[in-house]
Amino acid sequence: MMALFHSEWERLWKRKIAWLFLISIPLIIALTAKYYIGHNASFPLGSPEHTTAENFPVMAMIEQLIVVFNVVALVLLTFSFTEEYRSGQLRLVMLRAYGSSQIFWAKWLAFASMMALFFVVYLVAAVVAGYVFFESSPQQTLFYYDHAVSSRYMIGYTLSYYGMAYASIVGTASVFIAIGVISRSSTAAIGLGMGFLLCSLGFPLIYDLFNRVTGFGWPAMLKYVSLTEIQFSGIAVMLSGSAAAREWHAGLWMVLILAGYVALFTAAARLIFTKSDRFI
Amino acid sequence: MMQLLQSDWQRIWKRKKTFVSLLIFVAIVLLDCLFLGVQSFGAFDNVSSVPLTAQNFSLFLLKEVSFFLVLIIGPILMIDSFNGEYHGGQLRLVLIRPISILRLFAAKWINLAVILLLFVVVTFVIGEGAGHLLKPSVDSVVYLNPDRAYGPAGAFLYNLESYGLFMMILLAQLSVTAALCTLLPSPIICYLGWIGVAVGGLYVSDALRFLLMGMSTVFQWMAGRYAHAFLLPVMVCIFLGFAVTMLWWNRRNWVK
Repeated sequence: MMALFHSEWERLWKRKIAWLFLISIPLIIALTAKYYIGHNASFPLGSPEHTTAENFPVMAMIEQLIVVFNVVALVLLTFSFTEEYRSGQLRLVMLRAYGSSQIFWAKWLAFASMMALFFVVYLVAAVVAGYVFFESSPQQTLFYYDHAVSSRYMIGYTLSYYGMAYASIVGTASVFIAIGVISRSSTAAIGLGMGFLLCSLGFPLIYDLFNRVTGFGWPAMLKYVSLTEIQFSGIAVMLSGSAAAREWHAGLWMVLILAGYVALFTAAARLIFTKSDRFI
Repeated sequence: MMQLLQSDWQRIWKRKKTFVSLLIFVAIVLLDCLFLGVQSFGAFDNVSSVPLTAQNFSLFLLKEVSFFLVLIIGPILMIDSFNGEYHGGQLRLVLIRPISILRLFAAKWINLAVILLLFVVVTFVIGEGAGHLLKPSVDSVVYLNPDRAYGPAGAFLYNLESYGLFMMILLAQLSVTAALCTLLPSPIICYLGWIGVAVGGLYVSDALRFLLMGMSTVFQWMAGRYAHAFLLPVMVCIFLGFAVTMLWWNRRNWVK
């Protein structure tokens, strides 16, 4: 199993795109920092949108999580699950004495470790860039917080934010894996994956509108059924100690949704991957 | 040339994706009609909006569905035709015949342009129909520029012109994607490349923002408020992309 994981890991890194993304992380961080420096001109210190050295890692993650990390996950998974399988490269692995379930989990683990590595590199680059480009401040104002917090508290907050962001990427990845397994060609996998992202982005808007028009007054928490909405505002709500979030059990609710996505789509993908026709 | 067009046309429709995308697209358009049907205002951007009427309905419908065309359906069809066939080795069976590669490229470009036109026309017809079914008709309608009012006939022409401009943006995308598909090796990379070009264009120059923000550009240009050059960059993308890629195909090493 270890050898299989190693082979999957090497095959992921064989792609130039993986290296390209790793190298472009500092560039992405620099562009984000440039954007927030301009942004700071219109938001005074004390607004949650004001960027300081301490909160820059979280702000940089908020800005890039939805587009960059989701799309990178989609591309890597399409290579790993659709392209390798449909182009027949995977036959050379299947030839060996591994079960298809083992191949599936090795692929999953290789992807998850690679994403974890990207998150760590991103965090380190963001911490460095934060102290280079922004001024330090003893007090931090956070989204959905009713009081300012100390910089020491900010360390734990940043780590939890990155942890939840990683969990949300694992959630979208499980959908992309299911899509990648059923797609017959890589363009179809990419198209369906992007379609899923666009629909997830659109769902909260349509849900709010539906609520307003029909007047049912369904709970606002239901909009977090969309994974991108969890990535957009959900993580901040989840980590906030505000009364409204506690009343709705926001954290528990979103963790359950994430777990539901992961369990449902990973199980379906594994089932299809192991049961489908091996003779490609 | 006619036979090349026909053969490529058949190959495009042989891929199940083409027909399925058309079906999904029509479903999205109809859903968006329902979505707009329950709304009373149409928004040009975060700030400006006007009451939705039968006359301006189709324009807002195009804004809602444009992202599906620009980011998903368009790239998939283009990449499958320009890169997927080459990558999968299917094009060898075509190139074994004594045909001109220049013409083959032109045939692909024209066929894709026709299919994109089909998608845009479907949106326009459904939009005009749904607008008159779902929304009240008015005698005078304004768009992003509140000083210019249009009668029913003027509004129809205004919508038609906006759709035409959007179609030109799609053609610009077609030429740019064709060049990308020749430059980059595999379909997945091509798709990523297109996203990179569309998003990167925003950072490079404001004159390239039409690639990603097509409808917002069309709204502003039609209202006379677009601050950057529009027609020139679109034309440069269409014709330069077409010419460069065509010559590139002719000199390309087809032994794969």
